[in-house]
Amino acid sequence: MRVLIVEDEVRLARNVAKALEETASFAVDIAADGEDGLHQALSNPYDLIVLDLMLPKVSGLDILARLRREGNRVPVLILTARDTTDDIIKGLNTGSDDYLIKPFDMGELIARCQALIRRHYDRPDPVVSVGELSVDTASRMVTFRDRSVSLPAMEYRLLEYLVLRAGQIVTKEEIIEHLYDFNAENFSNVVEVYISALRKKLDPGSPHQLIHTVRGQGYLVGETP
Amino acid sequence: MKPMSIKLRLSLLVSLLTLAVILMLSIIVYVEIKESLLRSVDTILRTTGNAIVASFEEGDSWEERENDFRSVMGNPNTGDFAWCRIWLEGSEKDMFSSGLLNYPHRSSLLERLPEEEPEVGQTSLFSTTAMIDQHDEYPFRVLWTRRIEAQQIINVLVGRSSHHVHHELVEFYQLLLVVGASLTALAFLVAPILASWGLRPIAQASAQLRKITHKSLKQDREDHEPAPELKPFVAALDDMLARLDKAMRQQEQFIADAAHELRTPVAIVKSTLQTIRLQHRSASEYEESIEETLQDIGRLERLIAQLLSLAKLEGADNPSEPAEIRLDALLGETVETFQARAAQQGNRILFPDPPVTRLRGDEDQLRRLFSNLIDNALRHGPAKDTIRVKLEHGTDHQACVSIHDEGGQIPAEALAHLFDRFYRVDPSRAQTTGGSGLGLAIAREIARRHRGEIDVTSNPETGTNVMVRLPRT
Repeated sequence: MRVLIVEDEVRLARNVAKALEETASFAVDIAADGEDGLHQALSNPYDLIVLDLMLPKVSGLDILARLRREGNRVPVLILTARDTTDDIIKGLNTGSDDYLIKPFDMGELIARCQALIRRHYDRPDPVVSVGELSVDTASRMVTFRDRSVSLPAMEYRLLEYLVLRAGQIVTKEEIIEHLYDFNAENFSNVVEVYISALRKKLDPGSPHQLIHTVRGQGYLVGETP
Repeated sequence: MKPMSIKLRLSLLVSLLTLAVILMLSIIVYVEIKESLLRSVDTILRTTGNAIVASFEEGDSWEERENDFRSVMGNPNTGDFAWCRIWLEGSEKDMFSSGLLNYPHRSSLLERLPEEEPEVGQTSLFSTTAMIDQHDEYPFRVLWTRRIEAQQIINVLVGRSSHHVHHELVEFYQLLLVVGASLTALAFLVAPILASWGLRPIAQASAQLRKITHKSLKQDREDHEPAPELKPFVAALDDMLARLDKAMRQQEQFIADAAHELRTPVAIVKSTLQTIRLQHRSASEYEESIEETLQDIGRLERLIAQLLSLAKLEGADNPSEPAEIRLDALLGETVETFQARAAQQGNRILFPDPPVTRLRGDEDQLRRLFSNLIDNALRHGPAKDTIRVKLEHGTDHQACVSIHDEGGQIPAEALAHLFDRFYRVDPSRAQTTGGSGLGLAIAREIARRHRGEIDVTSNPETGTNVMVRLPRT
């Protein structure tokens, strides 16, 4: 999952990014002002935006209004020190999906981020099961044939994205866009490397039962639609 | 003492006015009636007197005359007390007397003749009293006339009791008292109702005022046109409410800003600590987190200190006992405290010899004022900057302190807001400059309390110049 944090307090943004990367295996981009934030939000397909309201250059509410006006459906969580009910109502009515007041609890922020992403992918149950595979997106526990499987961060990130979109064809471009942050170096064959690593652990036999390759289009997890 | 209610005042006023009018009317009527009653007594006396004099002139025999006198005077035992006395001038003995003069107390009537007797041929009237028995003394009107009859001067006195007049007057007086008292009492009862009616616009206005809360200060009230007398009052109130509303909004804005400014460093510290605890870290990572946390707490500390000093400044009265201060020395010391930091940053501060300047004020506050301004110049001025602090005597007994740096990048639209609390030219609240946004607000507040002012000009060619003008002694 790829998340954008728009926050001018550099240290706070860095801490949230670090927590989301470590705890939720998200790929995180940071924008330190409103202009940069709007630009990034419009140019990349984020799974979630954590948005401060009082930002230099362009305010958080302006960014949000602009995104919604352009039909962007990305979940937005407002993270701000503005705490009045009026502010909260205004934020939600401008199109945000959630509102958290600073100072906040990091665990709560992470849980809210994960919940927003589950909703966005229409998977209200944090445990997603496909055949004999079950992925708990809240605790990042992967179970295959009743055995717990431990996966490195990047492999988990890929698996989570694929199972959330189970039953749909996922292109290689989508995988790269959703799993890598702006700073990551993209290698065209890196997706294949992680796919084959996942297959080794979760989908041994041949032909593959779990992660199917759709020739010329991408990958598909679970039953063909 | 509890103030007297307007209703009570108006009631008393109306009642007193009624009382005064009734009293005045009563007095006038009383006097008029008394005079007219006495006049009627006098008319009878004159008629009687004329009849007696006429019977003299007719030249009848003395017996006939006496009969005439008696018929003129009427029966002494009926009607009002009346008497008559006729005597020759110089004679001790009366030629004729009737009525009360036969009573044992006649002497009292004779003794009370006025000193000045009427001219011969003239008539005079006077009032007197006489005992009609042992206990009762009655008022009398008396006519005295002197005539020449057969080369002798004859005195005629005719008296008539005016007791009935006084009796009627007393009755009338009692009537007036009853009617007057009833009217006054009625006025006193009706006055509060009238007063309430008269005061109703005030009651209506106050009912509307009562609906005002701190949230509806400026909301338009239901359009009850106030009474003309209340208009200036209502207009003044509206003015006051508008000012209160503005102050309230500013206060709300300040609290919102202060909350934001206080929460942000707390949020950063909390996020730093919670993030570092997510998993096991290396010793250097822990140390870095501690260092960052301490920096953020330092920022919080400075912010709290400035908020408190601003609150103190705004809350306190003007400096209680302003002392006389040597501004030139104070500036010199303040500049000195910044020299080390300036040198460290590669900047320098120049403070050419100032003229001796005295002013009255609070030394600590003034030190903070100039510290804040120099600190600002060091913080926001360009690298390798020269900051010039200058003290001059201006016109109108002013001390002018200018603090000049070579920056000059403050945009024109920002200049107007520079002294607003929490205002920053660069809204990013970046850690690099670390200002709280309160320094200039505090500086202006201090200058204002010393009856001074601060102006800022900024343009890229001449740099940024902050000018503080304070009245000197």
